[in-house]
Amino acid sequence: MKKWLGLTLGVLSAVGGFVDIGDIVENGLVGARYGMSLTWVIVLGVIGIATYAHMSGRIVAVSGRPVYDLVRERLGAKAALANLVGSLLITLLTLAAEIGGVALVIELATGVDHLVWVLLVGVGLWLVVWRVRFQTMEQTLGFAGLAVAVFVVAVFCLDPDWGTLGSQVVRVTPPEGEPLPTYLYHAIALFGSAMTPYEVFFFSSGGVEEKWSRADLAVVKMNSFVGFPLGGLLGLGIAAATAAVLLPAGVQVDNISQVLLPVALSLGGVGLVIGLFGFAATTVGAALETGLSAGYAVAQFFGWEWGKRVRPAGAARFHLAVALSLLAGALVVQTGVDPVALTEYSLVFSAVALPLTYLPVLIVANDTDYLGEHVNGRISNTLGLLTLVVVVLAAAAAIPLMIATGAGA
Amino acid sequence: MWWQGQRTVDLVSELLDRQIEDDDGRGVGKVDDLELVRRADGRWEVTELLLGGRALAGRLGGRVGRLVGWLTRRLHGSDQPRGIPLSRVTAIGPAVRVPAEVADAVRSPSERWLRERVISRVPGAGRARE
Repeated sequence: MKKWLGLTLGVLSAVGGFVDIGDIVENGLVGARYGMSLTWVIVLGVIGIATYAHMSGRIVAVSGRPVYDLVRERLGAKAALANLVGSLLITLLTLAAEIGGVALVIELATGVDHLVWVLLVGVGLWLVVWRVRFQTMEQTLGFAGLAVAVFVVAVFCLDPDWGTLGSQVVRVTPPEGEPLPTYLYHAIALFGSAMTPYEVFFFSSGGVEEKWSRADLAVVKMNSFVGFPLGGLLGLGIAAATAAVLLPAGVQVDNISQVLLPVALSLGGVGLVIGLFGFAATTVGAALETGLSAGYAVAQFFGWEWGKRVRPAGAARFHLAVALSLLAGALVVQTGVDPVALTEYSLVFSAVALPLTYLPVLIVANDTDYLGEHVNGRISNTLGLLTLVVVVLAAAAAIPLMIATGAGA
Repeated sequence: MWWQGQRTVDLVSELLDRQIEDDDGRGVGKVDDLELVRRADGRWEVTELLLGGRALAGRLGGRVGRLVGWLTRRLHGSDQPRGIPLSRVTAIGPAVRVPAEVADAVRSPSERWLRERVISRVPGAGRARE
C-alpha cells in the first residue's frame, strides 16, 4: 500500500513538474495560431522525454551516476566543458524565463507591475533551496501544478466543435495562409518545451537526492512513462483551450493573460483563480528545478559534493552556484526584458543544445559496465535513436528558421 | 599483470574523468589527470590520481587551460595538483572509491574556505533537510 502511495506521489509530481513557462506560452501560442495541428510535435516530444528520462533514471538507480557525470566521462574534459558552458547558459535563460513567469503571475493576481516582484521572487526561491526538504518541495509543487488541469476541464465545459479540433489534430500541416517555415519554427519551439535539457539534469539528480536504487526501477518507469505523458496531456489541454476560443476569434497570444482567457470564459472567476494558481505552482516549481539544475551541472562536472540531501555547509560551492544562478536569473528579468520573449528564446536555444545532453545518456544506457542487465533493450534504443534523429534535425534547423522567420512572427 | 579482472585497461575511458567518492558516497572530486612514472624496466605505471583545478588546467591546455589555472591559483593560493596514490583506491566502478581519511587529505581548499567564511555563517547552514 505504502509502495503504491509512493508510486502515485512520484507520478503526480512528475505530471505537475512537466509543465513550465515554456509549455504554457508555447502551447497557448500555437493553439491560438495553428489550432491542434501541432499535436504530433507534442506526441514526439513526450515520447522523447519519457524515453530519455527513463534511461537517465535507470542509470541513476543502478550506478548512482547523474547525467552530468556521464557527460564528463563520455565526452572527456574539454568537450564536456564546452557542453557545460552551453547548457548552463540555456538553463540560466530558462531560469530567467521561469522567474519572469512567476512575477507575471503575481502581476496578474495583484495588478502591481511584475518588475516590482522579481527580486522578492528570487529571495523566496533561494529560501526554498536553502531550507525545504527535497521531497517536500517536489511533491508540494508537483501536486499544486496539477491545477493546470483546469484547462482540460475548461475545454470540456466549452464543448467546442470536436470535429474541427479532431480534423486539426490529424492535419499535420499549417492552416491555409500560414507559411511553412514559421509553422516549423513553432514546431521546434514546442518540441524544445517538451524536451528542455534541464528536465533530465533534474530528473536524474533528483533520483540521487531521493537515493534511488535498483528497488526503485518500477518508480522510475512509472514516472517516465505515466508522469510525462500525463504532463504532455496538460500541455495539450492548454493548446486545445486556446484553439477552441482564441483561434476562431483571431486573437494571437503574446502574453500570459491571453492564455488564461478560455478558462475565464468557460469557468468564470473560479476557473481563473485555479488557472493562476496552477501557473504560479508550475513556474515556481520550474524556477527551482532550473536553479538547482544549474548547480547540479556545475558541481557534477567538477566533482564537487552537491545536493539538498546534505546540509548546505557540506556542499558550499554547490549552494553558492545555485544562489548565483538565481541572482543572475532575477537580474536578467529585472532589466525589463519581456518574459514571454525570453521564454521563446530559451525554447529555441534549448532545441539547439539538445544533442549535447541526450547523446551521452544514450551511449551510457548501452554500457553494461554501468547498467549490467538493465542496459537498453531494443525498444528503448529504437525510440532513443529515432528521438535523436528528430533532436539533431531540430537543433540544426532552429537558428536558420529563427532568422528566416523573424523569430516566428 | 591483471587489474580489475582485465589484462588491458583503457585509462581514458575507464579512469579519467570519473567521480571520486569517499566511503559514504560523498563527492571528493574528479579524476582530472593521472600521474605516470617510468619504471626501471621502461614501462609506464600509474602512481597517482590527480584532482583539482591545477590538474584539470594542465589537461585542458591552451587558452581555456590557462584560464582555469589562473582561476584556481586565485581561489586556492596553491600551485600543486592534489593527488591520491593509486594504492589507496579501494574500488573502481562507475565511481572511484577512496577511504575517508584519504578523501579528507585531498579535499578542496576552496570548498573549505567557502564553507568556513561564507556558507556556515548563513543561518540554517548546518542542518540537513533530507
